[in-house]
Parts: sequence; structure tokens; C-alpha cells
Amino acid sequence: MADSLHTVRFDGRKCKGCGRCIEACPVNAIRVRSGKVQTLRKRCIDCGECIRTCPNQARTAGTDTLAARAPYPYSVALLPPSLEVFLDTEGLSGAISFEDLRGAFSNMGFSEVFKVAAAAEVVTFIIEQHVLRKLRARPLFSSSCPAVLKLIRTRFPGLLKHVAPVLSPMEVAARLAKERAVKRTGLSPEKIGAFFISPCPAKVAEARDPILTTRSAVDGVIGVNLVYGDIVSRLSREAAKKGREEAQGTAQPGTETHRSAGNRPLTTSMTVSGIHNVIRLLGEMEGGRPVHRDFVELLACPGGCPEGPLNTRKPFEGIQDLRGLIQKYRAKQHFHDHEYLLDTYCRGCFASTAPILPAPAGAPDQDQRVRAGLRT
Amino acid sequence: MKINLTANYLLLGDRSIDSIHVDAVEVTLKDLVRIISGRSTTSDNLEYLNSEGTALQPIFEVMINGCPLSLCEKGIHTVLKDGDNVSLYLDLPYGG
Repeated sequence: MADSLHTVRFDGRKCKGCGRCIEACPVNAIRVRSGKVQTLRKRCIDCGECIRTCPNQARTAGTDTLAARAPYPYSVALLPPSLEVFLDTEGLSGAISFEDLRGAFSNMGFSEVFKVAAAAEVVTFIIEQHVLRKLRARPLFSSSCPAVLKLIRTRFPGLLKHVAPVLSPMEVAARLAKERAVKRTGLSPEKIGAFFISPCPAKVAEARDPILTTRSAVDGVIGVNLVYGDIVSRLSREAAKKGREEAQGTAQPGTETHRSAGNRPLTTSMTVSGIHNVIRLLGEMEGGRPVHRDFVELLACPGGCPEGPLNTRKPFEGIQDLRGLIQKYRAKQHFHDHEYLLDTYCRGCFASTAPILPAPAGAPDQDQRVRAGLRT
Repeated sequence: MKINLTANYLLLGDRSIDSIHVDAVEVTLKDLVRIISGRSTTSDNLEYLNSEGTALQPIFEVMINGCPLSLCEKGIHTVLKDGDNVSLYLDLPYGG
């Protein structure tokens, strides 16, 4: 696989040779050869564990920047639920409306924003239908974490039949956002760019080398670390302004920020997060362990996407009103009515359009040859 | 006994801990979350268990020694041993 399809970058000048990345890599993709660290690209799944553990920032994610929007007259920012979690934990959310959020992104040059949570609702519904109609091997695995999908392709190909045959929420969001923008503006689809604001390097790789589709609708993946400070700064100013208006009795009733509830309508679902935990579970399943669940969400980052390596802080550090936050996320939010969802499913919208196949077996790398006694 | 803990939130409300010592010969996961909740300084009303006390709230993703709680035969009544690793994560939104 070409290097350009991988997103984890290595800066040898910053590397102190501590070896933490080697220990942390779940797929043994990092080696030291002739005193130099090397990444075995065909093994790397872009999970970002090395970024997370490197104390010297020698490993980074090669995401797109805001400049990627330049070719598009109209650009949509796709906002992941994890970003909303972060904003909720800034202590601003009570005062911040969706319009404020839209304003913050507009200030950065985006034409509009689209919540990926709305796409996640569609994906969840489609998966539910597959479960109810018993169309796939049970349990179904979520298609949302590209690092996990790559892991299954490379290490557990016998379990690929469990992957839900539906596009990821990011891909669905890009398609829905473009459809909406075309209706709104009359522009042709190729003039509309969809940009995912990502907590995760694997999403960058997914957009460049899509897994369940032949062509990604995502035109760029911008690291959340590149925009988060600006967003919070803008929202803080808005919150302060609103506070003053409230004190003066001039505040307008705002639209509450939509919540990206972690809807889990399936009665027998479970989540396993952390790439090492995922590997353990998949290994046990491969060994014959039955998992009596309809749906399993497998996430590479411990604690899920809010712990993505591109996020600039831990999401729940400093949150003392955890109970209030939990209450908020327990509330179910609906973006689409049942008829729309059912119609979407029946028409086969957002079904995967490319089979998910085992990763091609390449020539064994040098280390494999050494273990196999093949060194010449 | 000592139970090693991992979490993505502040377990004691205003600070986190990476292990907890329990003065008992035997402790179940249900006991453990009650102890953690009881020691919490600011989130003392954090509800780990459902109202019947029969299961964890679905918002928590829990693993015992890397095994999802849902796959532990005894569920919240799983008996923990000295040195066990328990992970507690808030499992909030889905989709990136």
C-alpha cells in the first residue's frame, strides 16, 4: 500500500529512541533496523496508538488542513459526535446554540455544518434492520472505526462476514450533507466539498482509501486539533455576549444544540473499545468463543472516539458534574422520522458498494523471515 | 485487595485513581462500583447501577481483565481477585 494512504508520520529528529511506540503498536508495525525506527506500512492500521504514546511528538497524523477547501465554492464541515462532547465539556454548552456552532465554522470559511450524529442514526437503523431480518452473521460489527476494519482485514479475515454491510457514519454524513447542499444551493455536487473534522488518523486513511465503497464522498479530513482552539475561542465570546444580554434581559431564545445521543436501540449490543481489547475479543471469537450479541461496536481508542489521538485533551478531565452530562446524553435525539429511515433502508441507500476483503498477502517482511528461519 | 482501575473520567469526582484497595476478602464488580461511587467527592450521585441494582447503566462500558462485562458469565456479580484490572469508560456518542 502506498505511503500516501497512511497517515501516521514519523519525525526522526524528535525520536529519542525510547521504544514506547514499539511496545504500544498492536500490530507490530514498528521496528528498529540498523538503529533507525521503521514503520512497516503494510501492517500499519493507522490506529494512532504510537501518536498517543510518543512522549516527544515524533509521531503525528498527516491530516488535511483548511486549505483543502480551496477548490470548492461551497464547503460543509462534518462535525463528529466526539467534537460535540468536547464542546459540552468546555462549560459553554448551556449557552451555545447550533447557530453559534454554525457561526464558528462560518468564521473559518465553511459554508455550513452537518452533524455526523444524524448520519449515525441512519447507520444504526440500517444495522437494526439487518439484525431484525437476520441477514448477516451474528453478531454484526460496526463499520464506524476504520482502524478496526483494517485490523480485521489483516489479522482476522475469517471474521469479515460479521462486518455490517453499510457505509460508515462519516461516509453517510458526506453524502447526506452534499444532497442537502445541492438542494439548498442548486450547485452541482462536484462543487460541494465535504470535510470531516477528525479526532483520528484512521479516518484520514479511510477517506483516501475507502474500505466499504469504491469512492469516498469525503473530500478532506481536517484534524480537530487544527480547528478546536478557534472554535472554542469563538464560542466563548458568544457565550460571554449572551451572558451579558441575559443580564440585561435582551437575550433571544436560542435553539438548543442538538445532542448526539449514543442511541443503542438494539437490545443486545455491546461496545468494546481499546485496540488491545478488540484484538483479544476477535482472537477469542476466531478461536470459537460464541458472542451472543446482535451488534458489537468495536472501537480502536480506549473509551471511543472522544479519546482519539488528535483531540487536544482528555474529554472528561475536570468535569465535576458528570451526572448532568450523562443525563444529557441519555436523552435520545432523533434527526429523521421512521418513514425516512425505512425508505432509506429499503432503497438500499448507504449499503456498502465494495466487498470488504482480506488484506492482500504481501511478501513476508524481514522480521517474519527471521522468525521463519528464512534469512539469507 | 488491590484492584487496578482505568477510566476516561475522574473516578472520584475531582480526581482519578489508578487503583483501589478494598478491605475485604471478596468483592464483586457491583460492590466495586458502589465503593467508587461512595468515595466520590463531587459526583456522589453518579448512578452506576440501574434502579433495580441488577445491571450497570448502559452508558458505562466495563471490562474486567480486558473481557467485556457482557461476556462475563456472572455479570455485575463477577468476583474480582487481587490484582484484577477493571476498565470503566463512559460510552457516549457513536459515529466518530
